Amino acid sequence: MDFEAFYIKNKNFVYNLALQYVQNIEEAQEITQDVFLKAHQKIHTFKGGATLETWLYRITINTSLDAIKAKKRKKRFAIFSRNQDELNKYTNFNHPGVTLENKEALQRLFGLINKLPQTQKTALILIKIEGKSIKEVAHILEKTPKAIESLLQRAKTQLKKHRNQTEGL
Amino acid sequence: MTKQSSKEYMKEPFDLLQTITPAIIDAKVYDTIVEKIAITKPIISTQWLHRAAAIFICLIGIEGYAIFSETSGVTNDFSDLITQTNNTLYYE
Repeated sequence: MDFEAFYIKNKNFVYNLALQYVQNIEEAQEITQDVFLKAHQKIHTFKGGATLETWLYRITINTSLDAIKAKKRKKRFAIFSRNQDELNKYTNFNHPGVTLENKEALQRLFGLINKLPQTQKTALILIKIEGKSIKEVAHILEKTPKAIESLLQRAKTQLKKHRNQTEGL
Repeated sequence: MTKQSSKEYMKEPFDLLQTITPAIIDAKVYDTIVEKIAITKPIISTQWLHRAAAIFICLIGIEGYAIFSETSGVTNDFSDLITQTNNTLYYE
């Protein structure tokens, strides 16, 4: 398969998964670029054990998590240097898959999801937004289905806790 | 007022998450990826670099072996230059 066909086949799921992590068009586009660049450079390291899609899922998840870490560092620097433009750039909720009527509620909800630990957040995104089954997520994250169920349960508990705290304010 | 169960309490946010529709990526992203690939592509492939490095290491090894094997048979080249004396005095 040539690179263009590979890109066309997978571009939307990579972009949408990145969007669920960063909730920002520009950042999701940058992550998509990085994912395909990495895939192009490392295609020879791909072992046939997993499907190409699973392999791409793993790259997307890792790249998104790395981008979030980098964003946090830049955001801290922007707060420190009191650069308002830079700060706005990193706090901007701009998710094209969200309707205007749900925007405010989803922005609040993503605010809570973003507070979850990385693995819990990943499990929640893949199951509740991407609609993947427990088995599929277990395969992507190289964990057992039981471990994924446990992660999802903990994510729900944490989310409920955070929700209670914000509603109590 | 009845207390909401945990499942009911979390149903609303999870239903909200399912309202998110898939977005379509901008067409210009592909062009940017292709540009980045062209920039990061090395002029000489790494495979050839590895081959050249392996040949170079082999040559150094052969050279080292040749030098070592030549000198190992000879004890001291300078010994010929030193005059041999029998430690006897003249006119003795």
